[in-house]
Amino acid sequence: MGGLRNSLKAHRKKQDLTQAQLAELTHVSRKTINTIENAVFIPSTILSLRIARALNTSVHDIFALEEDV
Amino acid sequence: MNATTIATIRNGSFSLLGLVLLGYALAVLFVGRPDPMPPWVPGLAGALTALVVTLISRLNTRAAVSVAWDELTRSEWARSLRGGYWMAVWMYAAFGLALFNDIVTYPQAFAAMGTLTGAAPCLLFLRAWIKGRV
Repeated sequence: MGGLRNSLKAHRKKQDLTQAQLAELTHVSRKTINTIENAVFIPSTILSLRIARALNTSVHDIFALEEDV
Repeated sequence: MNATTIATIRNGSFSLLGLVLLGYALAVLFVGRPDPMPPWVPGLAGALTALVVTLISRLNTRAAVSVAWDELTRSEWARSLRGGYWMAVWMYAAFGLALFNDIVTYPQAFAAMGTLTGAAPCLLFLRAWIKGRV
């Protein structure tokens, strides 16, 4: 999906987490994490914040507008 | 039951319902009568699906159900419903033409359109499942 870039996979790997583990921490399915990483699905603000908190970072570090990258 | 099992049962139930309804509609069109099989089949399939989906939601923990119905799934379900709506609208045009050209009768069109309208979102959800999105 255009417009939004994310570095979720890199942040997740940095924390040594699998997709399933991150999914469990954020209360979603592994498929949801997978589709976000592949830029197929854009998460809600709430889920973005939950992901950022689980990865000890900020939403801005994971997600960015394409024109800002 | 974990979230994956709940999602699999739910997806399977919706898929099966979609296929039953599609099968009924195709039978209506190919057999050439509005009741090619007992007319309660689509209704019973729908009621059983509703029962299964409700039961797996009620009999499992709220946490597991919440993950099974997470925002990706809700988004895909909403997308399936939107697609189903437009398919239903286009069916009026398609069946209107078929009626105008005496390809189908009004009772056939009624039976086929009703079941296809129900089948469309379920089959679109099945497509999302096959694509690995739910």
